[in-house]
Amino acid sequence: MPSEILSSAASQWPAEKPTPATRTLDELPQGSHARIAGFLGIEGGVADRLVEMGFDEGAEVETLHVAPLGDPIAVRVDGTSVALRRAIAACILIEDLA
Amino acid sequence: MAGTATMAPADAAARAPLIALVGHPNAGKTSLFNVLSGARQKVGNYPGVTVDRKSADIRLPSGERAELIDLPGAYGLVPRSLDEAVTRDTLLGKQAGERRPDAVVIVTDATNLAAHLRFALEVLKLGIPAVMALNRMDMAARDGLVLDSAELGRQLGIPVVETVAVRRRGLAELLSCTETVLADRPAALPAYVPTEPRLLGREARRVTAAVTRMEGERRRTTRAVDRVLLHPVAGPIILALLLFVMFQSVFSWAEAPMGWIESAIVWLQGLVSSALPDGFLRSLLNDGILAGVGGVIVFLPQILILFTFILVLEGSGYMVRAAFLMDRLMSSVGLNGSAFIPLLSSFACAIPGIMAARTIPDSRDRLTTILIAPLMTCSARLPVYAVIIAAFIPATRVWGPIGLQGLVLFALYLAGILGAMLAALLLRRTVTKGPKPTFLMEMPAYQLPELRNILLGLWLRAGAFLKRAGTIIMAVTIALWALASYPAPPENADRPAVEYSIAGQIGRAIEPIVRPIGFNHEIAMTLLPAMAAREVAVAALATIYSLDADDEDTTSLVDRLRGSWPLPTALAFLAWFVFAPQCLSTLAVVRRETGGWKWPLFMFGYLFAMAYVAAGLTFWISTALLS
Repeated sequence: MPSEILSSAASQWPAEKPTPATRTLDELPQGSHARIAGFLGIEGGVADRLVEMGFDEGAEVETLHVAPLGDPIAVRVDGTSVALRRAIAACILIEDLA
Repeated sequence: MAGTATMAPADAAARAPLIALVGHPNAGKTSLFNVLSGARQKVGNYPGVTVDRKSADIRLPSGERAELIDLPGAYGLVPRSLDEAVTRDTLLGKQAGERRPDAVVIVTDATNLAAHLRFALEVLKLGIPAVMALNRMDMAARDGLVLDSAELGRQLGIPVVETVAVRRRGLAELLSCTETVLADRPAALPAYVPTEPRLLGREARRVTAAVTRMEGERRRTTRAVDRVLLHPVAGPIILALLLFVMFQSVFSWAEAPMGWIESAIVWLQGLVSSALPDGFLRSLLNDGILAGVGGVIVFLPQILILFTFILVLEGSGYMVRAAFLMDRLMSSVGLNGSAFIPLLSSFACAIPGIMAARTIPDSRDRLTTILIAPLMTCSARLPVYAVIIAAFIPATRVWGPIGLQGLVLFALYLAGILGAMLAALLLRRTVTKGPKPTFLMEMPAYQLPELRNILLGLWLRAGAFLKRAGTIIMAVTIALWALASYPAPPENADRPAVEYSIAGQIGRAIEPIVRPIGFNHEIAMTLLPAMAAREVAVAALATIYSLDADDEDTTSLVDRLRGSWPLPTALAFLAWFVFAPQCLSTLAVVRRETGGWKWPLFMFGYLFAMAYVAAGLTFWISTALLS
């Protein structure tokens, strides 16, 4: 059962990057912090798993490590270190810390 | 059929309360299970799926018996793997052949409370009497993190016990709390209503904030270590060095015990020979049973050494890091980083490699890895390669210190790897097709692997191998012996005995099939016996060329082959052994690991096809080039 955010994201799959103010997690440089703003164009099952692992709106993320050849990346979210591929990170919207 | 004597304990166990350990994959659940159950644990399988069911009979403080089960680690009750489905179904009372637990012990990692509480809250909604083990309190203290476990208990409404599984701290209290909640079992449980994961997350964060008395600088050590081990340059170098040491050990340490096992078998065969007259019984004992048992346990040293390394890597938390470093390369053929170690292990022997594939979370990734594991050139192929290369490839220098023979050997290894990559790509698009493979793994904090857990893990894996795979391997070896021995040759036989046997007749039946790819009568006769193990091909060829079977020196076989095979045939034979499923032990282990004959038969079919095409192409192209 995908939430409202997910279903609306799926219905308006973006042809290009969203508004310039928002970035995605794969663009967060190593060592930088940001806040999760939502998901974009991601299947419900993966999104639920991400939420279970701590990727929830408002949670703080930090890019910890980048694997050789640039993919996957390791991030720290909600006290947990999680390794994920850039393809997934590109579906996670982030905003600057207030 | 079952006597009352065997039924009684099962009934008693059925009446004893069932206590389930649940928690995240990295909560330290298995360590807790190990210290609570000791060596009394039993490993079984859930019907129809290849998920281990780990259980143990334990005694509660009052002396009452209880059955403790270690449910597979899960992140939530919406299952995303076979493991998680078993956990969910057991907790809901829907798992076939399993009672609904009477109580649950929710294991959480104190150093990562918010993440673990999410699942704990979801489990609590089921209404099953519950106790929480707030584990790894020592690591939390080291990080300077202070939690109020009494407040946590008040917030959740269940007893919360601080534990340090590895130091056996808090165990007695945990069991007595469990007994208390068991006494207060509700008559009926509420119906399960799934909860939105993000609501659980928010509640978990609220509770965590409410019980955190002092925020520690968490995982300081882990971050510092990761800065080196996951460094883009240093990381892969360290991984490569580690693997180098691992393989050196597998080969150099296993060599001696493997030799002892072989000599012990030969010694026993000698005893049998001196005690029994030549005949059916002696042949069955020596060439059937002893050879069969030997063929199984000779793998044990390599399996144990390899698994010691794998268990240490897993227990320390490095395994996920290795997967992280290798994921990009593995993803180019549709696999994921966790397939790296199992595939690498398969260079020693496909059996431990296939068994190690259990560490791969996604079932499709795991199946693909199992199916391509036999394409990694295992050590049993080396004797075959060595004889054929010595006979047909001149020992000339190609460039500098690089010789042609070594180059051919390298090409054979490379052909296996490329074949595996091709197979993975094709399998991923056909039989193991599924959602786009991904990589999403929690990276646990580093910790010292525990000797107790490693020894238990080795004991369980060795037992599983000997019991379940061993029985099949032995049965098949005995069957092969019977096929190769009967019917016996006539009195005035002028050809080797095997030619007159059923195996010989099967060999003759195979012959027209393998003629087109350049195989001669002798090779066709070798293929069936070599199913026992690849290296048997060398002994089988020696027998067929009527050489003294006990002749350890292979020079005579090399000379003999050189004189009787054309070069394209020899090359085709090499190409065949790169791909061919010439190993019943591997097929037996695949059957055990995939829970049926479907996948081993599929593996046999596709590898046979690959071997046939590769040998054929090699034969036809080299024939055309040489003429």
